[in-house]
Amino acid sequence: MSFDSGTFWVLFGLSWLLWWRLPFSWAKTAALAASLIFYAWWSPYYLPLIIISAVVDYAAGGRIHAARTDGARTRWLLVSLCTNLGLLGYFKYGHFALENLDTIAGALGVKGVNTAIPWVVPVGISFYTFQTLSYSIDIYRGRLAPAKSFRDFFLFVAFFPQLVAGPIVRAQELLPQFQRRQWPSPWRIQNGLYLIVWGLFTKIVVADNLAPEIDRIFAMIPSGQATPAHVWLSLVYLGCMVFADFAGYSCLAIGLACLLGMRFPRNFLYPYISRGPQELWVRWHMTLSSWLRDYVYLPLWAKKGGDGRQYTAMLTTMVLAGVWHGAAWTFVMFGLYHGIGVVVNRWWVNTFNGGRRARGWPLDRPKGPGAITKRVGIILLMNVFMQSNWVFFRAPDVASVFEVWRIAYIVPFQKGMGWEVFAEARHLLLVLPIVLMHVTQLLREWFAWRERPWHRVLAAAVMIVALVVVRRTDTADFFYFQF
Amino acid sequence: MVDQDVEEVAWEGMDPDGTVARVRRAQSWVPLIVTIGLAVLGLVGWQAVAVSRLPEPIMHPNRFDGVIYWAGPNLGPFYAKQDVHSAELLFVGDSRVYDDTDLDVVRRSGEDSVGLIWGPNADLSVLLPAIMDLPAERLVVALSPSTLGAKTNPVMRASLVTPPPVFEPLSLESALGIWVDGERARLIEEGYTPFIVDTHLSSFRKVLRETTRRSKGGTHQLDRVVGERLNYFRTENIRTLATRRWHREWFEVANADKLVNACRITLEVITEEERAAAEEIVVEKLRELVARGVDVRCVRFPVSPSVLAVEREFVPDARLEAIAAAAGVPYYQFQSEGLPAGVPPSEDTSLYETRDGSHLTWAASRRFTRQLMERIQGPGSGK
Repeated sequence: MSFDSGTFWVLFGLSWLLWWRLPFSWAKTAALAASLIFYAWWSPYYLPLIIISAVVDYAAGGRIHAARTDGARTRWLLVSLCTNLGLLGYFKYGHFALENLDTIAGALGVKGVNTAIPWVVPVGISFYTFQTLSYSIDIYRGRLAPAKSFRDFFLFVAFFPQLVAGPIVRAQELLPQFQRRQWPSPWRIQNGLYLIVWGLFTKIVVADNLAPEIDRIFAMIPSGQATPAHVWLSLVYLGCMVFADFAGYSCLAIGLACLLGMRFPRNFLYPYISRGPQELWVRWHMTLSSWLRDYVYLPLWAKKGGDGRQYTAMLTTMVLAGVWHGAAWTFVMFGLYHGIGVVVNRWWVNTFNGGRRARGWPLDRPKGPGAITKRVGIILLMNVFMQSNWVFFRAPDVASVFEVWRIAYIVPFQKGMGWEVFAEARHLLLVLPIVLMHVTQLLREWFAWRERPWHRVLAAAVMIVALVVVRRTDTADFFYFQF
Repeated sequence: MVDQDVEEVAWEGMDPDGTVARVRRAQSWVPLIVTIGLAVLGLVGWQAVAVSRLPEPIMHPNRFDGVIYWAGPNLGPFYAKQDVHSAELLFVGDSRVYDDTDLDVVRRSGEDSVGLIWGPNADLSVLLPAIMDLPAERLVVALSPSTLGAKTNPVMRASLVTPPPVFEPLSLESALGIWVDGERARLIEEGYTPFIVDTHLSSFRKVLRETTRRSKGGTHQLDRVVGERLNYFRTENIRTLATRRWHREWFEVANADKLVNACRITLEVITEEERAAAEEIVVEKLRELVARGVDVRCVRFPVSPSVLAVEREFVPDARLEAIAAAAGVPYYQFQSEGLPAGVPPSEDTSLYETRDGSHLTWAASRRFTRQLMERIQGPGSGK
């Protein structure tokens, strides 16, 4: 049941009515039931997994809080960690591990292992296990009191707007909102509707229209028909598609939450205006990067041990971020790629800026035309870094990644770019909304430009028209469901 | 992405008992009303002004649509759409059959039981023997120079020397993965570059997956839903974002000369002996079908003038007509002029506009299918 399917909107409509009509306690039960139906729609067989995860973490959270000794607290935390990471590892990475074991066995000349597994990756497992993990760890750290009711906790884990593809909402953010129902103001309802229209527009109009063209260009690569211009176009399209798809989903989730009177954290802050790899991860999938920062990077670094330890912590965190995206060597490479980028970025700041960033970074304003020109140059350069990385999401293996990069970076010097392709690149029209959104954000950040209500009215009207006009008869799944 | 953090008084006005919070400051519904008004105006304007001025919509077919249909070892791949094992009316031929035949139009013309078997540059001398056992009562055969002795994708041919195993739905992805790994290693050993092998196998996996699901009854629904979200098939998963069928596509324009060179290359590699041998088999199989009581129609699907000119260089029109005549079946020649044979050409070449010279645009395919069905269901059709 996808957010852009009719079934979902029927379910949401019912849930919305029940949420506001029933007494709050019953409303939460109804929302939990709706969430479980939503999840079971994909696969009822994996419902027990989310139930196990919720039961174990609820119990572990309570025990950690009640434990009188550090040993007992640690033991219960380990129960939570092992359960969540065990489920994630078994269902998401089991096949990858078996495949690699089989390869190693083959290389050693011994009998390989059976890599056939009778399951598929449960939808959204990466998201809800991270949520439940943060709950246990926060209680362990004394930053959170355990949930008073299992129903509220289970609703936090399974709440359908964010269940399958985030944002990764932490217990500190969501559980208090289940204490009181907050009637949304007209502004809030309209804001929610606007976010929903925005999400649907980026998904249906931008992402879904770019996808066939990306396929077409990538299909040209093996036969040698793709010029470097083709490859660069496809990488830009891919970058816009992934952004439009994922940011679109996040916006839909946040918009739905708005209609239910809830607040979800922002998940994207226009990542393609980043000035460095570190800033990219401040703006891209913000709930994942902040999760990794708080629960992996900072504990690993512990702010001691010098630069080397910090860089190692960064690299490890980014590799984990890569592996979080998928069980394949291309995602390990994806993590390494960003890890190296982030480390180099940090080294630069440490070496040339004394480890300090500008006040208010990354929202600091440039001073004067020179600074603006420099920033625009850096942003463009950074986009080369960012758009090049999307091939990890598309290529079937690491060799293919290098083949695409070879065409993008080496072939132009051997055979030229093949610029004529741009004359027929009509899909660039779809890149325009994404560019416009980012430029608008630059205006906000650099020149304190304020969005007026009529801007939104106009934008929403245009998006609604586009949604109706560029309608489709077949749906495509949200990209991030697979993670 | 969009600002969602404007502070609201609603958050200060929560009722102490935890029920619905009331907003203290009235907020306006005007933006919503204006937005709806503007959107309605925009849509009316679009319908009134823009729609009629848009170029002809082009359909983007999925080249690997359908399930695998086995002609035999080293003979394929062909793809089947709908249940070809029970279809009364069967279309067979190359990609033109798949692209140009709109099954909705066929059904609307009263044909409830219809199937379609096709393959890129499908060689009829291979395909026809493979469908002899199907129960179809009526057969539409796409006859063209490229369906007589054509050579299909060499990597696929090499891969399909033996059909892949029948996969179990619950272990479909891992079993498929093992098969693909084996095939990959073998094909690379045969000299194909890893990149080409990977690309073909990744596309092919989708067909194999769909084939298994369709053949496995009850569990295929679960598999279809869950299977699409597998991490193991990243490349395939990103394809799930692809919209497979569009009402409108404005980002491509028709180019009637696009496949001229490809068409020439396809026809050049077929030797005269191969073509003659293929013709002989086709005639023989068509005769067999007719003798069994199958109502067979041969159709030359429309192509652009430039592609038609290339095809005529290799196989004159009369030679195709002769095949149908020898088999004793009707032959309908829909050509780029957009008119069935025997009807004088008109100035209007947009009737069967192709998007690439060889395949019709979506709207043209609907028009063509309507005309084709009129011919098929006309006098003497047995329908």
